[in-house]
Amino acid sequence: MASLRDIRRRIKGVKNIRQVTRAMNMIAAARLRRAQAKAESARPYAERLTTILQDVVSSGGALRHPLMAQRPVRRIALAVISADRGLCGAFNAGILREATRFYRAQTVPVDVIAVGRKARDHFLRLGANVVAHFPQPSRDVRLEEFLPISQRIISDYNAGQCDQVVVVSVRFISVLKSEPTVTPLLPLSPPAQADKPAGAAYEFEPVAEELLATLLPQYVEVLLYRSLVESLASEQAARMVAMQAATDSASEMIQALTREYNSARQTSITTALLEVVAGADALETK
Amino acid sequence: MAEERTFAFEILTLQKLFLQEQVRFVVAPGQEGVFEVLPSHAPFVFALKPGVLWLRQPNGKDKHIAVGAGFLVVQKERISVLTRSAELPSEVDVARAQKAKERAERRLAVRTPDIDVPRAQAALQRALARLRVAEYAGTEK
Repeated sequence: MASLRDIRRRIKGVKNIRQVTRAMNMIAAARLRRAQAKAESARPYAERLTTILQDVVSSGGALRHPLMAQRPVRRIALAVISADRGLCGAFNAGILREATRFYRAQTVPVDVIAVGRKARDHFLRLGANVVAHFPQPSRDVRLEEFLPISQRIISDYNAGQCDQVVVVSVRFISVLKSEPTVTPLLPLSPPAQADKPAGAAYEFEPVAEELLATLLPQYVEVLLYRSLVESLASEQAARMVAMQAATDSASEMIQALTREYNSARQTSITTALLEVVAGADALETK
Repeated sequence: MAEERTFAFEILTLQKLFLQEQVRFVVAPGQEGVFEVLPSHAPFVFALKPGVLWLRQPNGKDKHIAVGAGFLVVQKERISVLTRSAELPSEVDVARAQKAKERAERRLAVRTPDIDVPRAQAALQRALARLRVAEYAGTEK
């Protein structure tokens, strides 16, 4: 049986762990709220840009732009959006499982663009061709952190380094539910025109086709930005849940250990008492 | 004096709804040149280049904003600017803009083959716009 001191030491250790997991849980909760607010405030821009793109595309008849052109797929770029850090439950495992499944299912060569350390490490281990690696954007998702990602993707695509770009990222559904998803990014399929009366007839300056040259990259940015923010929110949600579970099991463990400690203490007292009584008895009978 | 007509104007950036208010007119840096938008403008989509956008508020005061590349969309009685970035004079980080300007100028002066000229030019435009807007800091609110 473990000695009293050993048990005491273990209780202390588990308490320390609980303190850490509890703090992480609270931090994740606060960051999750901020990430959700961020996703929310990006929505108007994304929606407006989408409508304008629809209007421009539908107004101009057969508009063509390299970013929308389907070409025979000889090489695929796979952008995997993961986290830099662990301790967030099944978040990274989920995204990497989905990405690997896609990666293995392809018949043409696949290049990996890794966002976040976990994706890079994983695909390097698999022996994949990791052509680019970006650190995960900070929680502010600043322009200079994510623009290089979309610029790299667009320029690779334009240069013919790949004929299709696919993004694997986690969609945020709710705090308890998020889903790794595979979404084709390039070539862009213009958002389907909803059943609405033909949008206002616009005039364009410069002409629609040149306008697309500015509009489409911006649209790609929005799509990417959204995936990044959602993935950030999901990561924090996953961490929050995982750390809550860890805190709970630490509490449980402390309870069990305390019980063990008490019964061990009881036993040792009983033993000591018995010895004293036995000693006294021995003296009396003499 | 007749009541000045105004229209609803908004600036949306990737991060947030940056500004939303009634204005008398807007002057914006279009890719094909600076243009002005008055009330009841026909539906239009303009591409913007990085530069200074300014507007007149109903009280006659002006507001200058450094905008990045993007669009200005004129819809019926609502005009929106969709841009990557927007900054008020008080928000501009002058030291950083100054540094960015010098960096871009240096790159354009040297022009070694590994330099992406359009990108350096765009960076220079952005830095200049910020610096110009920053001059209004303190003079308008």
